Amino acid sequence: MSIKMLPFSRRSDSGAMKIESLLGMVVIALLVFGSGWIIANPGLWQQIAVLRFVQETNLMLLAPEAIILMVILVSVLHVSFAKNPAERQFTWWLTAMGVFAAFICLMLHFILIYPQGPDYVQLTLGQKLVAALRLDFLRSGEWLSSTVSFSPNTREFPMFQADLFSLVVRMLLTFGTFLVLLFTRTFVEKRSEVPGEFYIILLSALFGGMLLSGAADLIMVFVCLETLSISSYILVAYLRGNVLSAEAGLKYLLYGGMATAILLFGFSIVYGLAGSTSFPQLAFALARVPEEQLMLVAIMTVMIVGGIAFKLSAAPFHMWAPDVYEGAPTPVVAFLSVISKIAGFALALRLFTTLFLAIPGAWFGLLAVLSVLSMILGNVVALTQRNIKRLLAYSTVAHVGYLLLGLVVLTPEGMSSLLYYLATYLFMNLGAFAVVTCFENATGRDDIAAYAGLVRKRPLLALTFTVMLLSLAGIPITAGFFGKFFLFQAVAAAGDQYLWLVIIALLTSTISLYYYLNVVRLMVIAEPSDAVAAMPDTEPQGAPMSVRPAMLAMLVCMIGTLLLGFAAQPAMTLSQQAILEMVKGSAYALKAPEGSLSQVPADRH
Amino acid sequence: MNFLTEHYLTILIVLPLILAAIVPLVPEGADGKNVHRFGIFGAGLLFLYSALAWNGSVGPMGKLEKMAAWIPDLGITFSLGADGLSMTLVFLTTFLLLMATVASWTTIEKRLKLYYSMLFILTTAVLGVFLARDLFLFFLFWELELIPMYLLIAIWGGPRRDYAAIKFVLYTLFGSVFLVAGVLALYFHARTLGLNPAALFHFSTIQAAISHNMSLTTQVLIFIAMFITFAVKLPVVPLHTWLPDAHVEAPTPISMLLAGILLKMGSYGMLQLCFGFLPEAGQVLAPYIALLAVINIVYTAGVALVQTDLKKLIAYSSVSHMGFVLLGLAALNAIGFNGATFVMFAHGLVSAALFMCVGTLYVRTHSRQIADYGGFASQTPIIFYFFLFMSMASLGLPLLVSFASETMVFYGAFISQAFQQINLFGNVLDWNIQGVTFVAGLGVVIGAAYLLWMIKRVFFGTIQERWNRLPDATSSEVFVLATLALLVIAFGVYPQWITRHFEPDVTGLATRYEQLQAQKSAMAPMSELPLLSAISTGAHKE
Repeated sequence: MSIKMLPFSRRSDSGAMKIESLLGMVVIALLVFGSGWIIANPGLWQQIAVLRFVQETNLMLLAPEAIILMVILVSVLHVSFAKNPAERQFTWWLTAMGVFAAFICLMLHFILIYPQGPDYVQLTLGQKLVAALRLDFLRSGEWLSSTVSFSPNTREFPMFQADLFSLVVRMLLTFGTFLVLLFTRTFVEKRSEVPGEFYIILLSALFGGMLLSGAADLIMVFVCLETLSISSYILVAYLRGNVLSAEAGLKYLLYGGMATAILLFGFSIVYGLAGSTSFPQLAFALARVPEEQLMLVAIMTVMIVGGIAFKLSAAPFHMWAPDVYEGAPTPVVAFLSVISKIAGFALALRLFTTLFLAIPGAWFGLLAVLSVLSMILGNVVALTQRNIKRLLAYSTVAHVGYLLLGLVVLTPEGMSSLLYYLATYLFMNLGAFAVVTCFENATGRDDIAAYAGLVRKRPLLALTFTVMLLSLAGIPITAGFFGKFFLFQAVAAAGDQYLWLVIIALLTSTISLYYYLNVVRLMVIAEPSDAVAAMPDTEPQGAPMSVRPAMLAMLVCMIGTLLLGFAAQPAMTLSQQAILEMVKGSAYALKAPEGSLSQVPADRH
Repeated sequence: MNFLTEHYLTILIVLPLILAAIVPLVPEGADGKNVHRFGIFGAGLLFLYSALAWNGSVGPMGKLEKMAAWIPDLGITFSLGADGLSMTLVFLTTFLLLMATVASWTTIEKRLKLYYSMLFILTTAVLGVFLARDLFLFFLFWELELIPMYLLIAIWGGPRRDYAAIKFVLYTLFGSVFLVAGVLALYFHARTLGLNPAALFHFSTIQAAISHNMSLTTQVLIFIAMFITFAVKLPVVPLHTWLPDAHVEAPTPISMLLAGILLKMGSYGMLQLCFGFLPEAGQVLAPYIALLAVINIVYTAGVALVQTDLKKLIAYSSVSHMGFVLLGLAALNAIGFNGATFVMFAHGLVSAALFMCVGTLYVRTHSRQIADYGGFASQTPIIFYFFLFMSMASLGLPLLVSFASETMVFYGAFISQAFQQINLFGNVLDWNIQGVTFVAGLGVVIGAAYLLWMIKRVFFGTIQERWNRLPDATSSEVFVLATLALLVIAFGVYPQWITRHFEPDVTGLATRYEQLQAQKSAMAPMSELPLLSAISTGAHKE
């Protein structure tokens, strides 16, 4: 095969680079097609012990994460050996394709593995993996022989739940990151002399988020959360020459470190109370906490909820968000406000349906307060913003408020509406940030006034932004309308005591239309600002490679935003299934009698 | 023909959307008028298409139904249906759209493609509201109308257009919060009863659920919630303040559509959803609605009397006439309901024509202040004739359409059994519906006063020096005004031409009330204040 056929050959000069690039592509291709092939030939497993280990612990379920990890490793190698900036740009291809490969791999799982039944998707990677990694076991060479059986007699509680819920969330995460990568390229390469590492850190953050979506163990949660957070700190401060970016990074680090400490304190109290780190066991133990320890449970609840609220930037833990969003590179803001929020909500959903379901108490009142504060504060303060990134930051706070409603009621209907809303939110918010990024690339401005008259110069950009903003405001026929309607009706359906939450949500979303419409008004109605007037009449022809991926991202977001509402039924069915499966799993843990906790029957579905 | 019968309504809704998508692709042409031509052509196409249903050539009216599953998990369906009431308003919509596009020929000059796109999307939304037979779909179309209208006012409007447009949006959106509340309350009631789970939002399911064990208190509360939404749109004093601003700032064709069609969304919603779905609550609340109607008629007529801005005067007169719709609804009998529907139609023609008249003067003088006018009768005789004619129609000259419709409302209200008396503030104010009707009649007198006085100030007296070379009406303006004038005469002389369309269905809505009144008159007369007693005791329906 001739190297010239590859899309990046035009940019590469050195032979080493070509080999590396090929290597990366081959690895990715092997992983994608290999996983499909192995699934298709089950008999093959039995031949090799290592493969049998992979099969019996269902390690294949982590193949998407493995792909991401491989891409990270290959990219690090590539960046280290790349000789000039032109070569480093290749990292973008590598990472974007890697993320897309992970997405395809998840799709394959969804199509091939998931229909084989819920029992099959249970990842038994508990102490088993630890045992397998014991040194004496490795030294003995037994693992090479085919006599050792890894098949579990008793099913341990997994550290990672590869259920439908995490599958759906990971699909959202990878697809969202792929979209972010599509419109990131020009922005980073214009502003940073080391663009390659940016993508790698973005992928590490994604890696943490993906594992977080299925984490069912406190240690796993903490490690994943830190992977996500620390990568985010670096990304926020990535523009080294930029004072705002550095300030944002430091702020984020300080606030984030504080929140992590509080969260960890909460976790340690849980461990002290229950003596385990596994969610099902914790749920079981917490349901039977003696009365004199209830105070500790309350403290723990406040700490964990507070820590998560910080990660979600729910008011009053939102203070970092506007400053960080304003200073951080715009694609990172997109990542933080969409990908990291989806991962955070996935964690919160799992935590609240297992751990907290067992706890008697008013933690849902706590969440309701957070939700109301976020809705009111986010929407009201957004009214006065003059910077588009700060505006979208407060809009994110407001949306977190709406989304928290689904956690407050915690009915299957509410949670599946939440998941559906997360999907719509992914498309509309990423679409909005794609436009903001493109506009910043073209003009270097991020104040709202600069958007005046955009429709005269870039009608498609303005149209996309208009649709995204109206969707965020919940105007039909966009997906945001359906998302809001489903979520609010699910909250109202949960009981009369939640009606006031719905009323506040409706009134605050009325307010929100004002500031979204203000941007639309500027773009469509006002005379062009100096920034817009200075834009060339047509897209610059010199940089097609940088413009086209961003256009593709916007097109995808546009299609998603306009069609997700009409395809609401299949999307809702999927999210209902995902939620129901997750809830069933945790409900089992609560009901289990004490002795059988380590023995999960096979027919638990 | 079967295909057409089956998908007639869907095509009717989708056709404007397709037109909206095509408009940006139309080449401007040498004289820059191609987009106008396309707009008029599209509106004409839509009008002809809707006219297929006029003589039942696509199937008998009332039998046009379309229902398809959409989101069965939540009971949402894609359901369209056309009874006579809906189709009457659909005819009005497509006809006025055609008139508005012709009126745009001279009045709209910039950004034509965006203009016609928005106009057609607006049409889809309005037609959707009139044709939806699913509450979710109704709400979706109700909200969809906001943004195109916002842009139409905010881009092509007058000097204070920003303020007027955002005021319109915020008022309407505030109103729709109550609509969501009402819709969800009805939906949950239907859901708890376990009726037809795949079509819970469908009108028929909701109606079945209401007649099935819903307490009077709940009915009254839902009625009030939805009434507030529609009252913002109608508009009803004191929620009317967005309308004069919107009218004054909107360009002429948009004012025509605003007065002619968009206000009808409010009255249609009241008739179809509030009074149609919740008859018991309607009966409880009718006296108060009658009072609101009278306040609406008399107060806004009084306000119109003192206006110095010509367009504002017409706007208040338009609000005042919408009060007759409210009065007809509050009468709760077949004649009142039919009269109210007929007023909707008549008001659509007359107020649109009046706004067109104001617009013709405005494009010539660029002023709306009555003080700037005077003596125009000699300068612009054609405009004067039409303006005078439409003013006569508006103040209720016999043989013209407003006379026929308002007479029906008055007659319906006068013979109404809706309430014997209301005691407000103890016994200080004793009203009965005959008294209410009598006071409403004063509105007509005030209407004559402000219209004639306006005619005198605008068209008679001495003309100012600067208006000496005013051109008279152009052919497109004459076309619009003459068509409207012909219809005003036609429907005034022979009202049955339109009433035969909606009469059976609207009378059907009223029969429920007549049954209820028959029940009530068999019982002891009501002595207490019905609303308060209903709420305080939470009485369940008999």
